[in-house]
Amino acid sequence: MKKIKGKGWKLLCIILLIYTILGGLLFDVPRLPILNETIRALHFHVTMWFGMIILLGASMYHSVRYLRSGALKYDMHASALAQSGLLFGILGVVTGMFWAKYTWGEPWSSDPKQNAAAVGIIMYLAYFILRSALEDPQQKARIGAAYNIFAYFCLIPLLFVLPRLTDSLHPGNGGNPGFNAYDLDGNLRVVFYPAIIGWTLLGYWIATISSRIRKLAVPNDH
Amino acid sequence: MVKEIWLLLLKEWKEEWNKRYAMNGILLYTGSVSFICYLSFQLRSGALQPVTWNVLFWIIVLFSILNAAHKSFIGQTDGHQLYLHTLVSAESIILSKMIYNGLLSIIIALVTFLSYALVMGSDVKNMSLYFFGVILGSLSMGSALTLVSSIAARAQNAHVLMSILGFPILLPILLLVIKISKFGLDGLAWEFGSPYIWMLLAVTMIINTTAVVLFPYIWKS
Repeated sequence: MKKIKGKGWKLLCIILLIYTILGGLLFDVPRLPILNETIRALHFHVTMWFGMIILLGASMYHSVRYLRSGALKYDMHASALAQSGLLFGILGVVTGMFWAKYTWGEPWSSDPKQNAAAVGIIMYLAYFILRSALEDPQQKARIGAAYNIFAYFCLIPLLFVLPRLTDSLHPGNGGNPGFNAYDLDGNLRVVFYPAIIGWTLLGYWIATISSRIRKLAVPNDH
Repeated sequence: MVKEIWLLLLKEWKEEWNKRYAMNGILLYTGSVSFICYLSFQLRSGALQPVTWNVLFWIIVLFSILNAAHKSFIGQTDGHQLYLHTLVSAESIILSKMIYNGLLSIIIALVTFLSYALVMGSDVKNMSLYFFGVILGSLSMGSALTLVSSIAARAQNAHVLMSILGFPILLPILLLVIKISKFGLDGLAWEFGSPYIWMLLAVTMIINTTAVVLFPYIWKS
């Protein structure tokens, strides 16, 4: 995680997020039935999922590096990244429930994507319970890393399989108006892509801080 | 490598045969759970829809397989593991355990089906598709739980960890297999089930390949 030096990216993150919040709330958006103004949730809800998958992927990458090298610092990065990925997952579910209350009528409509998200969160909560159940730091790191990689590879079929078993209520699925090729027009894209980068950088920033806290908590020789 | 796996499979079988009470315990478990379901649903006769019948069957199978896969690493002493470590490679251990757990799970699922169908009655219209679903589903559940069992065995509270680590991983398999067996139950033709069968095979392949790659790291610690 030390690869990205300097404070430039933190500045970029702040600018992008200010832009996201202002642009996301003020710019013109296309009028779609049912969605109406709630289409703005695209910048605050959908980006959480992109952020979560990128952060958990980065966490898996650090777990692989830990298993290859055996250096505890990679494991600290991996668990810090998994933590912020989990935070994004929970925020994604909460923002989604808030949005669903006003568009679908109920916060939890047993939508396959909602269910997959809930199972994904359980999977990563289990990762932290597993870590706290192991005493020896090397063993905790090694087994935690193995489970982290395993969980990521199980998460992909989960996100890929469940929505295909039944139609999703999500925009763009099952004939619902959505953000596919022609719906996602320029006005949305101009905010959506920077928003993904901005939120992901924020999650990464949180992870670097919590990774540093973890490093302080262990004795100097690591 | 193949020879090692074969010898390890024989060893597993001999251990199982020496400790027959474990296997008998699981079989009795499935039998008594089926009977409990039967008695509980007797309260309102005719209340059980085919969907409920199918889901209940898979939940019984899920818990029985979880109990069976549980003992594949938990309960082994350190000395025993060290001895195996010096003799064979980690890959053959995980592969043999996976094959063994898969076969054991098939037996458990079939026995559960017999006892369940005996007391609850069965209304399966396409038997071959249903049984294919049962065999494939229990095989992939049993093999997927092998790595989870080896992870859980390293910690205290292995029993609780086994469930919380295992359920989210089994969920895609369970949902696919319920879908496939529902087709068999309704007597639909094979071509309706086949996309889900391929999907189940793909998920099983992903999970098991990851497990074989990761197991040496767990085994070393």
